[in-house]
Amino acid sequence: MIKIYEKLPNLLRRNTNSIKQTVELVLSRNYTNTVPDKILEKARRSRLGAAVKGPAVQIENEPKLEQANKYTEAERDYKYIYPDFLPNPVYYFRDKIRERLERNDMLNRRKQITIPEFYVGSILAVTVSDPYAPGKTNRFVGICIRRDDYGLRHSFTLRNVVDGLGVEILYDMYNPTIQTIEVLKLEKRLDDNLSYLQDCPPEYSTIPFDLQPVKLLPGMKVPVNTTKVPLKKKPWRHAWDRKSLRGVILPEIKRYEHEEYMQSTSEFKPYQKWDLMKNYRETIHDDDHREIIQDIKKFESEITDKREVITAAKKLVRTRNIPSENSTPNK
Amino acid sequence: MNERNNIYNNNTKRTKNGMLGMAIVGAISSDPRNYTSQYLDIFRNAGVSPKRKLTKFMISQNAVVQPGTPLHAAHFRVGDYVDIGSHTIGFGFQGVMKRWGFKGGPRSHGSTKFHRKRGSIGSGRDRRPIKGMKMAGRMGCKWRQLMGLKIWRINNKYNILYIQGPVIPGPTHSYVRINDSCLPKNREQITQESHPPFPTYYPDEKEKLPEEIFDKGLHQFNDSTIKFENFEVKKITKREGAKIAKIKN
Repeated sequence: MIKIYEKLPNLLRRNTNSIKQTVELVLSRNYTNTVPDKILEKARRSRLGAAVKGPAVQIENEPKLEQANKYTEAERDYKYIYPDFLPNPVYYFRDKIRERLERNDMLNRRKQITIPEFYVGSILAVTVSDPYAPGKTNRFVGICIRRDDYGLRHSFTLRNVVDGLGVEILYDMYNPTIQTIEVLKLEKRLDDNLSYLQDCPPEYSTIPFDLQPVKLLPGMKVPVNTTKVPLKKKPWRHAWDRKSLRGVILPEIKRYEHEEYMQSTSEFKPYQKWDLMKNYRETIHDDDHREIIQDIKKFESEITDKREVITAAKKLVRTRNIPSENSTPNK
Repeated sequence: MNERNNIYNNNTKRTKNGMLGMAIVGAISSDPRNYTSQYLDIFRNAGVSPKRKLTKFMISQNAVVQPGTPLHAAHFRVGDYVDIGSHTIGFGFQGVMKRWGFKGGPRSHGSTKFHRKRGSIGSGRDRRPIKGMKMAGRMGCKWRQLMGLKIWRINNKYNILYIQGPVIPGPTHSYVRINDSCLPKNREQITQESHPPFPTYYPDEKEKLPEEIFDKGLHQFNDSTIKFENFEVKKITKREGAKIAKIKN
């Protein structure tokens, strides 16, 4: 019996249309030159395999996964705090041993740098080592627009308006030239993808480089910024009115009042409610969830001894300046 | 030891300057109940469990290996160059726009049934289509080889090679054929002093390999962040005697 948890957050990919079409083609074809997953995983664990007889390194008995029937809320929230550890929803592209090795690399990198928790809509400051810049460093501040890809290839883009020119920079999370990632303001927005800010007035995406960090207490929930951003006149880069966006104020046109127009959009698919396989594909399996949590718990237990996060949390409790939940957008 | 299982000497045309033999390599052992008795005879004479996939490699008599020896990822070294061959991803019967990248026709402005088609096939002189004309058909699932790819990292626990390259052809969990590169640049690096283990890597209990081996130029995730402190920027100097345009007054 497979347990179904909440849905995964949407990690959109770059060039979604071309990748979607290839994935649909590839999944519908049969490949005779490939090894099915059942047989591959059996062969990796079997005693008939050659790797067991003459190994270069003694394979230790892998520890059994602890069976947990009930997960606490903290364990379920790992997928929002560490979305780069989530597995690819397309089962065709997955390999368990590759994911295990990538997780080790990601956690080794996280011991060198603190990669904090942030969401789409929060304001970050990133310093990157640049050989051609004065001081050999480059600092950029901006709103996080989107987060893409799974595993080591996880990336995020920051947007800001500099001297009247809109700038979007894409950073790979596990790039070894990144020195620090600071969260100046932790908040969420109504959408998972804020790329519509291109076609909005520049007031809503300008952020001063001198912004002071806003502190939150450790027990507080992440505040949600419920601002709605108006769109400029057409032409737009993409058809934002045909996507179900909640953080956008559409212009007042008679066409949007008709139900037939909104139902003709590509995003309007009411039958997805009853699509069980789609729901199954978007959820995390119990076995994957256990493996990821075990690795993360081991990492967190090692970090707290080194970094003395406990003393830092004590300092936060002493502050009394609690910010309001409905925060205004920066200008 | 039967020579017949190790070396086939029938095809003399493929040998050069002596006798080259054929070594049969198998992958992924499986249940003997799924195969015929004729297929199982091959493995019974060699004393090995039946395998799912077989390939052959041409080798010299020095490189003969006893049947039943396992092959590890330590057969290769970090920094070696490698050739890879496999079948590419199969897309089936595809049209001209996806297969060859044609542009097709306009979506509107009165175009009748000409959105994803190709244009003309030939000219009016020959009254027949041009030979080699690109058309719709089966795309993919072809044998392709990539030469001269470098190995940057080896994991000995799971027998994994980390290979650099634009891409390794084929879908995930497909069979891939790896051998030392045949390019002359890469063959010069193999000498009597520094060469990969010959004929294969035989594991020793005394000298155990580390779990992971990295190349020197590769940045490990355990290392600290990269900082360009000793990086010197080249200063651009103007050429002497160069002609410079001047505006006439």
